[in-house]
Amino acid sequence: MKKLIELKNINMVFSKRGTLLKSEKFFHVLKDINLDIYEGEIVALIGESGCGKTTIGRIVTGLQKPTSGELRYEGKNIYSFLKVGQEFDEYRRYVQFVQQDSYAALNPVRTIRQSLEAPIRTHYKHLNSRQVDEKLNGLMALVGLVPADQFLDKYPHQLSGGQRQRILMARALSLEPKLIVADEPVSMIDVSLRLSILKLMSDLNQKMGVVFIYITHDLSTARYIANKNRIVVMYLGEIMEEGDAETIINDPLHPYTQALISAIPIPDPDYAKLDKELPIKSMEMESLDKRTPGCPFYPRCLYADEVCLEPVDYVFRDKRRVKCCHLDKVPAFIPIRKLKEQNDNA
Amino acid sequence: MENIIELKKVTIDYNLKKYSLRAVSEVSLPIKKGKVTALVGESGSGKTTLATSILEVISSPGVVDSGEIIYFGDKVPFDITKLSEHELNAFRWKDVSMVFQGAQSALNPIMTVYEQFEETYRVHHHRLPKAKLVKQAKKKTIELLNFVNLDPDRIMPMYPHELSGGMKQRVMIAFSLLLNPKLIILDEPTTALDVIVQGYIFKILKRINVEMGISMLLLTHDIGVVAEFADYVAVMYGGKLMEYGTTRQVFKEKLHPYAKGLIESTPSLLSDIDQMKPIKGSPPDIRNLPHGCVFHPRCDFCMDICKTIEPVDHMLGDHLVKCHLVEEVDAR
Repeated sequence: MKKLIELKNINMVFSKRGTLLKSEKFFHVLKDINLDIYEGEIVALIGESGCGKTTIGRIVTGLQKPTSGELRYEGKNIYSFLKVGQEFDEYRRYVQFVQQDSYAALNPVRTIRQSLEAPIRTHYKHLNSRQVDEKLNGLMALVGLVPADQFLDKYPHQLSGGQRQRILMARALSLEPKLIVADEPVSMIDVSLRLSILKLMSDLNQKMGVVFIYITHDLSTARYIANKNRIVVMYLGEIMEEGDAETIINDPLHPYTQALISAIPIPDPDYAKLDKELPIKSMEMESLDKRTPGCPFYPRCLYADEVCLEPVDYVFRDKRRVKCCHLDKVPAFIPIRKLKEQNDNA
Repeated sequence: MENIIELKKVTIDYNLKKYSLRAVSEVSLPIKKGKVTALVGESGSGKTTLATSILEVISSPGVVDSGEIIYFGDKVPFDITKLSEHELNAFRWKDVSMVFQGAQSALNPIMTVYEQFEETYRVHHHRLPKAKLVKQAKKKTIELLNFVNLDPDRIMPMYPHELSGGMKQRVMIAFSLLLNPKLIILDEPTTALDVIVQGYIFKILKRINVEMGISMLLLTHDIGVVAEFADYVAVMYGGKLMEYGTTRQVFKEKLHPYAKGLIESTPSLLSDIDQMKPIKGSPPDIRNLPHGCVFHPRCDFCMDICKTIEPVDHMLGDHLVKCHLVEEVDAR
């Protein structure tokens, strides 16, 4: 498979300006991120709030320049060829962003038609009005909003959350991108509509080959969309575990991934009543300014010792990588299905 | 089993200038004593409106149009809707308290955690001499913060902005317990929180429910949380109660197509990915509810009768299902 985007040793440092009494503070938001995105796939980026997943999304879409490291698109370093204005526009055309809050992402005083037309008219100057109209209709059909006329002349507040999310998807698709970064696209819409938006994304991926980076904190939806693809688990600005989705969910190796998976409620009363003790020391994520050079998960990990205070390397095991120095100490994860079988037998 | 509260045919209208909106229509719902009842519904289904009617704090211009809300927590049961403003002030928080959605904005930003606890305590114990009151309030605050695993010495002098989301939510839970209520209403208590913190909060809530015997009404749209935490489930759609039963009845018997659809369309770690299918269409506009059964435009089992006649509440034992399909089962 061909690599579409490569993140090489990306670091991102935010600074908090000092005052008379306080010195300037630095927050290492992303630390040595290496990640390849291949053509035709869906990658789910998972982590709790504050783990840097949205920052990765912003870096990939070119909204934010990393402090150090290379972002490569089809092998070319973006920030060396981007000096030329036109090429930067090209890159931004190929990589689109779908935001979490569909209400905030659409201009409230513009109709849907106006919102959707703007990018098309900017990037396809040769199209006449009729062709633009045809394109709009095509897009609306693609995201399942038919008949298009019923929606195009409405304002954002007249549509439901699910419909607005589809409009955002249509807007992202209007420039025929190769990659769409979707930042929590379903977390703000009604439960009964979530699945249909996720389905739309995986259909677009299969039919048109659009690559998706799906950013979420919800492993259950990530499992659904990245089914035959990859999951990347992040913690405090580092990638802790990366690999095939089903493998990670059924056999997580990293203690953090194990805790994350055990915490998810199962919508079935048979499983729910099993008492699951979370394999973790404290519930709250440590703050960024207290991190050590070693494993970021150290303060919350049940298996940690002094070794973890030193920088940790990735361990590669059956087609995945894990950042943990005590893999042999961490017990094998018991998937919930097995847990229930054991419980029933006992 | 005993009820702590019983809602009887409660109808709530929002009287706007030009027309009025019926947010909740004729909902009858028991809330069992010492149990956790989950009220499930999407946004606009009327679940928050219904829950706030128990405290008579429906956001303006909403009013209870008809129906009774009977409270059984005192020696003599009484109807909450008939209480005067003065009686309501004594009732709120002491008998029923609420953890509001978004703990972030529920705490006063310019008061420390302890000041907020003391203020509420003072208002409800205004006859006590000051020294005694402060002593009692402090003792209670320390006890409750310990119960939700927060360090009182550290938390009490803090302002809300110094706390993380999970800590704020735990402060709110401790706060709701301040006057030893008999029922706590939890409005989406973990929506803005991460899964690990969510799991932890529910652990604490379960302890409160079991150890203190406090009844709970949990408002949520998260099916996973319901299965794990609730004893009884009430499903609302378009301002109407569609199904009510024990968690097992609702999840296993799957009698109502809406509840069934919700359960089957929720991605989980166990579900078979290829078998999942979304509920078609989108939630109804309460200004313009469909005729007949409110769910019929989205229902896979829709029959002709569903389009014209609204189904009645069918009771299968203690399991309520508002659907014409159940009628057919009855007839056979």
